[in-house]
Amino acid sequence: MRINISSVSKAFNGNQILKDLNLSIESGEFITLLGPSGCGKTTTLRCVAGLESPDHGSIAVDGHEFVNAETRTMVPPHKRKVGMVFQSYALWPHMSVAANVAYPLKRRKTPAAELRERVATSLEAVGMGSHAKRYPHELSGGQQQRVALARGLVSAKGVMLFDEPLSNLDAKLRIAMRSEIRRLHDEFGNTSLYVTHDQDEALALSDRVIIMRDGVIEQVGTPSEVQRRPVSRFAADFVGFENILECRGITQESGAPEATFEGGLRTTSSELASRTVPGSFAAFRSSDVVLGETAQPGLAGAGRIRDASFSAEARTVIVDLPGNRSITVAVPDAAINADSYRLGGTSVQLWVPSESLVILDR
Amino acid sequence: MLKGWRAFTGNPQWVIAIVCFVCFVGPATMVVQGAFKTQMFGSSGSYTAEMFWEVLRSTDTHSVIIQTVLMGLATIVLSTFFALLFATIYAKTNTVFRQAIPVIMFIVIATPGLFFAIAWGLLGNQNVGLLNQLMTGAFGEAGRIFNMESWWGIVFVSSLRLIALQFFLLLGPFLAMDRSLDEAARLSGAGPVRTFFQIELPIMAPAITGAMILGFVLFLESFDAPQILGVPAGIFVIPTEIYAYLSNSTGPLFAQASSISVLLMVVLMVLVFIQIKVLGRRSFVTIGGKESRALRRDIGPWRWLFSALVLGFAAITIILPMVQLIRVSLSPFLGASEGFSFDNYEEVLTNRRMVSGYWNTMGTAMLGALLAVLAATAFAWAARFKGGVLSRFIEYSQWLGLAMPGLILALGVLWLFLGLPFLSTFYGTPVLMVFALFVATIPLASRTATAAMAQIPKSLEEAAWVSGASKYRAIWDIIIRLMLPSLVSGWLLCFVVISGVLSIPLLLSTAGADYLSVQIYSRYVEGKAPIAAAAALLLIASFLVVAGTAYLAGRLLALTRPEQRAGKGPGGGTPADLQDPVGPDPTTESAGPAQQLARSR
Repeated sequence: MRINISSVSKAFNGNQILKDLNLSIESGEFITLLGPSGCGKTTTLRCVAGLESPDHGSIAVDGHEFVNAETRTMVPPHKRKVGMVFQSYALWPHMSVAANVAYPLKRRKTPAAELRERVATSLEAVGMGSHAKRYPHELSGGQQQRVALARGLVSAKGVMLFDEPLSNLDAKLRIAMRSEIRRLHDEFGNTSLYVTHDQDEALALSDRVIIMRDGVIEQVGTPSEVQRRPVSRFAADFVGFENILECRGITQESGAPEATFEGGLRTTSSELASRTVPGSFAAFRSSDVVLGETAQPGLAGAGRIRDASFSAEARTVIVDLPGNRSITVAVPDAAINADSYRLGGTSVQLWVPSESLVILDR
Repeated sequence: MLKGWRAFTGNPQWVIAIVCFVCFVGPATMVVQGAFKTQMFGSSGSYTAEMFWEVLRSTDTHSVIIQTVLMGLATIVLSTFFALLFATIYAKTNTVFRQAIPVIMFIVIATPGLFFAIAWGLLGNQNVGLLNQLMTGAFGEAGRIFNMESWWGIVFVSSLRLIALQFFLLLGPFLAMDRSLDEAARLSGAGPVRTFFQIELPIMAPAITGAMILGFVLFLESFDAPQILGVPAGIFVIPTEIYAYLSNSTGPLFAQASSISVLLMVVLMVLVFIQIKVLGRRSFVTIGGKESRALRRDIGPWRWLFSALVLGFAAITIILPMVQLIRVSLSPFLGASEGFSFDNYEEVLTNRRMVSGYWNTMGTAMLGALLAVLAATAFAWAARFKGGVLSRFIEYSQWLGLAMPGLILALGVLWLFLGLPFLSTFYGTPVLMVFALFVATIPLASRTATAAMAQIPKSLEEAAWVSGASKYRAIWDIIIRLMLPSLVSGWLLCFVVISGVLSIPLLLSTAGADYLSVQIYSRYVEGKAPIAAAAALLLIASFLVVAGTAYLAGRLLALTRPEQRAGKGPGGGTPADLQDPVGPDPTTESAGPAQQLARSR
């Protein structure tokens, strides 16, 4: 089902949470709203569910208007036939697993035989078939989440909504459930709208990722687009570009243009310099920085190691640059001399290859 | 579609706010009007502050106010000291009987003030009281030292129930206190006693202040003990003074009564406001979780003294009053030492007014408690449905209910029904009393309902909406079902309170509809204490029967869903709520009902 969100605005106590939001989601698409807390992603989802009503704008699903603030039309949540998975799971503690899943069907007057069958199928689909008679408090967090998923799936007639459903699970379970959710999306063919602040989750699950900031959309793109080509400093920072440096000026001393960045980093190719203007930004990941000297096209500079810490795959080194700036460099643990960076005070040369750099206008 | 918009966004809070207005603001307004209007009822008459100033200036009023304040101060000093002592014993020591403390306190709170006043009035009776008889037996005639119908007698009996109430108010903060604060002081070189006085007590200061203010509020509102013990000795406090104006032999002095009521209401409102600010709203909601980590000290031989204190308190509050009541109820006349029989019970059971009063009380209490619990649930639901002005009005108007002692409320309700033409048809029917008792119990029911509702995450309701349940369907399927155990125990508390209340029926019960507490009271003041005692014991027996039935019903309900018995969720502990005398969360939640219960309406 195609979801159309047009010009939606919403304020709480004079605090503008959504500002003229426009978004259209294709039928069968898996869309993630990604952003920090307070960016309006959950409010957007709740507007689609009918748990909030927008101050302006409208939301339509397959041409059927769910809400239109201008004509004061509002389909109450219980008539929207969407499925929703809550952050807290929201399983009713006084009902068994089967009763929880059967509840949406009961409210929609499903015949008993069909009800039994659909409850069984959906519990089977989430791998909870053998726990139908249990009560929520007898299940682990992951199992509760599966039941919540099953309940959402029987409730959904084409639209599934997820409100940070994995944030209460531990890291390992989160990754397992991620692929479960994607598999069920493909299997049931719903249009899914998923809210999260975890970029890995967003990238792993979605057909398209929407990065939100302060109630507006910052960037829309496929996971690889937002991962590789962020459009702004905010987006870059959010998808894990640790280092963002501002361009301070362009010089033409030796004929070819050369751009200078904060911390004294300079371009080593005129092609890169020509894409840069003063006031734009160069963003790059810590893992793309190479320690040592080179003549290849990119960004080069020198600094002094302040600090180094060990993490899972690499040693994270903080390098102080001139002008009170510093950058983060990830040195693979397998690299030669990795240990020599452990101590502060060592002076190092560093460079970033051209293809790892993203030049941003804002 | 347009209809759908209105049905869902159309705010049900409006209806609830109007109900709140009628219940709380209505009676209060009528009392204020009564103080400033020359003509009591109807639209005629003009407004004047003359009577108000006259009452304000009279030396009689001044002496009553001074009397009330002094007595209140003495009462809260006494009660706070013992409440603090028992809270400390329970929370911080390994005293043998510490587990019995909350049970005793709960029984004390659940016992209507009328019974305490009568039982202690009898115990401390100068001529025939059990205590004086024991003392005479030990020390001869000179040992006849107890007289409850005295200044200190009122203070003593009033403080008994306040001790229990303040105990629950202080228990939460005591148990929630982080033990590392205590441990840090110990490691810094402070001994356990120094730590208690220099670290723990100062940290508790806001909670203690809050408990003292509330204690004072409840003393100002209490009617039973001052009426039963004070009036015979010629000692008047504000509530009994109001009743004296109303029961004046030459006809009720309404303007005087309402003038002094307005005065009291203003003071109470200020105190309730300060108390809520000091104690904060947190004290009424669950903090939970930390109680098992509280630090308990081995106090060595002191624990024997503390154990004796606990037993002594149980004797004073439960055992002695019960023994006295039973003994008197079996006596042919007050002070008899032989000829014990069940004649008094027979007389109670065959007396037409007693029996009709009994059934009337039971019916009124059951209905009133049910209405109060339902209304409180609706208020709690509406208050969290959506924030804003309406939600705040619903919350604050209930404070007004807290600041209206039973007598003043009854007065306001009387005028509300007499003053408004469409309501006056109900005058002389039990509707007035059911309404007044219902309003009087709402604050108590509200605390229970709000605490229970706070345990239910909003998302459970939202999940039901998204799953196809309408707003009202979700209330029934989710909210009510999950709150049921708390609602049943809340109903039970309201039932007990309404059954034992004296002030409201004293003013509102009509000739055709007798009320048992009024019957008990009038028999007592007529000098027929044995009959009063027998009737009081029958009422207590009825409480036990009703509580037992509710408990069994809860048990049966739990048996039909055996998987749930081990429940941790909000709906889980069905039987436990009724079983556990201090409610599902002894740390803080029970402070709510306890607070309300201690009021003698």
